[in-house]
Amino acid sequence: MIEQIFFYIFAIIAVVSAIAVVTSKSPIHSAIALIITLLQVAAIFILLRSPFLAAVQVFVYVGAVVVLFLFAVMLLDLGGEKIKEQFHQQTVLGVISSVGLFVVLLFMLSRGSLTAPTGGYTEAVLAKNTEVIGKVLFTKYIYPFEVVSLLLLVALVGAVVLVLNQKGKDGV
Amino acid sequence: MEMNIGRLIPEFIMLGGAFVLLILEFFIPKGPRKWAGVFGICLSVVTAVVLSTQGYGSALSGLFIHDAISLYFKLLFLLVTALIFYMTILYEKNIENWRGEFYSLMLFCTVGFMFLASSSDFIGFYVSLELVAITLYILATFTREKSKSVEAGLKYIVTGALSSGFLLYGISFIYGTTGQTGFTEVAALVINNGGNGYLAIGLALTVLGLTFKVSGMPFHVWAPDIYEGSPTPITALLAAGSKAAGFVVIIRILLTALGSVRAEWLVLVSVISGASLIFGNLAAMPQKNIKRMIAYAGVGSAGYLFMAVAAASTLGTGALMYYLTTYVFAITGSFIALVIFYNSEGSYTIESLAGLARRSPLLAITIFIGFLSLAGVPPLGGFIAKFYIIAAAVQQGLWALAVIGVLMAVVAMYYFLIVIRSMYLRPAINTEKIRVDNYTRILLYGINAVTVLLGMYPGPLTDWVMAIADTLFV
Repeated sequence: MIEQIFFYIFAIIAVVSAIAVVTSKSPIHSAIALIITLLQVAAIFILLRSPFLAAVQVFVYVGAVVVLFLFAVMLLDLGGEKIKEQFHQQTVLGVISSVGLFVVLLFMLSRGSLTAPTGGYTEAVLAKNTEVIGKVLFTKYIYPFEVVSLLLLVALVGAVVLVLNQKGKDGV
Repeated sequence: MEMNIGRLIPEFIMLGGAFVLLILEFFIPKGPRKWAGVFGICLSVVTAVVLSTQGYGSALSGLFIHDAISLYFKLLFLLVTALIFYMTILYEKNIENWRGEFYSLMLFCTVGFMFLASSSDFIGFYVSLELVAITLYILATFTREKSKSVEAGLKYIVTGALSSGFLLYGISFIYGTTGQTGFTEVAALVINNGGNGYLAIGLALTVLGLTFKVSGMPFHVWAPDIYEGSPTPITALLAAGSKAAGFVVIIRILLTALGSVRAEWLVLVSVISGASLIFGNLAAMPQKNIKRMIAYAGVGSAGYLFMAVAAASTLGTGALMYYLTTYVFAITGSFIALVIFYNSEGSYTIESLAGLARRSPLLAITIFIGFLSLAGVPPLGGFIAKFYIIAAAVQQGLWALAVIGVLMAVVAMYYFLIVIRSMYLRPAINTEKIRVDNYTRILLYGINAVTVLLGMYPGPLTDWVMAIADTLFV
């Protein structure tokens, strides 16, 4: 019961701030509203017994993506400008697709068919899911994990190489 | 949970080489790096030797497997890498703001190819694919001073991201229905439970996403621009390496993991095959630039290879491997010749090739043999490969595809013959001879000999690829 009350609190704040993201005139207000939305989603993940997903949501989306976005907005000094044209020509398409998605999700949820096999993990194991993910990541899935580390290294080298190319002209 | 790190020794050797080159780059002044290219070639040879001594089996708790098919493809990738390194040594001076990281990144790319050939799990396969993709994004835009290169690179990255989206969405559907990510586990579940609607959606999205890597029909749009805009060795790497890497994954996913629901993907793969064949070959006809022409011809080749996948038989899969091998030799041979030509002429248009036969008979004959093999003319390797593929399609009753394949082979003959006519029958604008150094001379003779040999005496390679293909269908 208490869980449900909390769910509704988080859900309502999430929806309201999501609406604020698209309606507010200033990019900074939009970004801050987006942070609030994502934090609420993280809270809902905790209610669903997924602390790991909640942490990732906070670290990656709130911590990295949106803060980076805010920095970009502030550094480029876009904050003062108001967005004049909020809804561009794709309004109709956007409305159709989001209403369509809503209808499909509603249909699936009402039939209770949004379930998937959980594989080898029982409810009891999944309750400690951060621990489970940590263990699995360093034992069974060590191979993709290490390949990802290589991938990040290559991306880093690539970023440096491509940016330095331009300075190469001045003999640096 | 056995780890068996020893099975990854070939990959570790290549990775070690990549790191050594990357670190050495700090200590050496800017400039040419021919020795790095030689180092890369030696490294590929050593890795190939070590690789052939490795026993079959799995490692890293079953997510990494080494079997007949991964051995074959890894040897193919190492061959491609060695030849491309040689090509880069020749091409080096044409890259503005040349940086030694080029070689190191190419080694990373090869490691990515090798990981792809060994992946037996959707997650491992996806991250290896991204490793390859990101390396290729960087390499393709290396000459970013040219605005054409930047435009091509952007197109490549955007299409790549879109196709990754398709792929991941598809994989998530497959995972959603089966609850498994391993290819063999998925295969076991699918055999027992059969397919359902979600699996079909997942399958369709995965196949569409994979067409990006092999420049197949819906995601081919990047190919002509990237082939034209990127450094020529990278064009060859994209044409030969990326295509082979894409198809080893397609073999594993469609034939191993989802072979039992062939009925669900047969139509889609056949449509992709037919569309790629028709579009690629027809669009190649009016091209003026050789690299663009090869890009469209490559879309056509993806069509033939998809036809072999659609056949889903021993003959088809063996033919696919045979095709890729002949393709590698034809592409690398003609690209090495084109690089030498570009070094002296600075152009890739078909017109500029006029009279090449008189200026350098060796370059002309190499491009001649390479292109005729791509077109599938009888005494050459490409003919045997196309013959096997069409035979496999006929054997499985895919008549429509077989007919399209034969017709498009005729079309391919037309546009490759335009180039050959230009080289042999047109008078040269510039009659100066083009010099070819002795190592390149020997290498080109070797590649031509292999292409001819694969066509005249296909026995040994056929036995090998058919034996490998047999292991897939037991």
